[in-house]
Amino acid sequence: MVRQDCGSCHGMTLQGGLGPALLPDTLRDKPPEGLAATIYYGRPGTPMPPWKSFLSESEADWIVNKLMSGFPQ
Amino acid sequence: MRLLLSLCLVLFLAACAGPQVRGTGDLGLIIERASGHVTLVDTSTRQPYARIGGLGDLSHASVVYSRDGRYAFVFGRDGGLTKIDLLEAKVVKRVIQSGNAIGGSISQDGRIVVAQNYTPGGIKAFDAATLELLSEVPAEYAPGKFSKVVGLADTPGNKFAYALFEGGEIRVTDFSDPRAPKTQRFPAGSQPYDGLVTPDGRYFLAGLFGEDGVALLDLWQPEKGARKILENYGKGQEKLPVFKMPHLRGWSVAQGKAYLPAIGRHEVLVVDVATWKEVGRIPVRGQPVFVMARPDGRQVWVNFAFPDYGKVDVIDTLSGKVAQQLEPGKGILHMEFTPRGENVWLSARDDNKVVIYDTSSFARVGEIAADNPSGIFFTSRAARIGF
Repeated sequence: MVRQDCGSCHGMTLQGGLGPALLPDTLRDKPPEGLAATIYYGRPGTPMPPWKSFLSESEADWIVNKLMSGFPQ
Repeated sequence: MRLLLSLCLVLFLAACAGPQVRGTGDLGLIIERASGHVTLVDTSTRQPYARIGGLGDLSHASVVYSRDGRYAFVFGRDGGLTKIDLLEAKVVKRVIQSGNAIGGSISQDGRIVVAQNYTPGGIKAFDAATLELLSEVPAEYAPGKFSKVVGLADTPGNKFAYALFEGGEIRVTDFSDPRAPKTQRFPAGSQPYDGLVTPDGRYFLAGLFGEDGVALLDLWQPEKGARKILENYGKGQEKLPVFKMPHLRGWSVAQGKAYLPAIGRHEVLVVDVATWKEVGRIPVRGQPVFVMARPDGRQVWVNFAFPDYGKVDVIDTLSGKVAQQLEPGKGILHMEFTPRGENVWLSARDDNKVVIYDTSSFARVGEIAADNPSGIFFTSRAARIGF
């Protein structure tokens, strides 16, 4: 789901598209809680939608954790 | 005598082994997004005939064709631009032209291929024969600030229209002199996310994400500037999350009406193209991504964003209602009609196949295995403005 559905904006290889890159290098300086909140609640004023209808908060945390360490193929 | 006979035989075999003479009007290709392959297909036999790899990251890849329908130009997400010969089924030339690309177009005279880029934001023009870089136009909208480019479309006169996502502009760049392009800028509105040109090449439309509405530029009278249509089509309603940006390319005009995806809504908007006023809305089963008319305009096929991307609705343009609801497969990403519309091909990404439907009986008439297929592009695009 991450590669395909996040990938429609962030690129299938997560190197960015309409949305920013989601690679460990680009995320390193960002607080994980903020990233998880962005996934869960979305980001008003940008195209990033809230995913809370499809994910739990712990699943959002899991995605952030995986992204920050390099998402598996 | 014996020698003469064997010489004849050799000549005969050589003639057989030579390239088979054929046209390209019924050929096309399927993007296999994950593995960097394209599968070349024949829409008459409904079969693949070759597969080519090594094209890099093809997520969101798009294709335009040379005017003779022989060469496909494939724009990859990773900035790769690959020219493929459909007859010899091989890569002719490949260049990496940017860091992050989103598509491209080919000029009216077929001599220039233009790529639209996210990183670095701007467009670049290439010689269609050699892929030599001719010129580039950075999408600088304020000093030192560059925008992602969306919605690039070819328009008559070797001009290209496009929009700037962060810049909120529509631009028209004239490549009449391909090494010295001239660009006009028009304020458009907040966050244009995609664009299209009408089939007659007259109007460029840019869908706006940051506000309800669509920006419209009359390319016959650009001095009048861009104006907004369909303003506040979601007025008074809570803004819905958008799980995938709609695509405006391949949009539909039928019977004097345009059919457009409503952003964030489970609706297709119907617009009178004489007045550019909304004349109706058709409820559908998800957030539309592609809203595409069969070439005769009798039907409009609609696919959807996550989580409804297993469904396809078919609108009958005579009744203005959904006439058929299909579940063609998992992850329906793209649709392409055969040149006269008797069949439609749909890519089912998560089923790893392309399925083919008869558009009058809605019967499934074929399928082709493909690795995570996304875009499907037939050579009939070569002769269409804006494709």
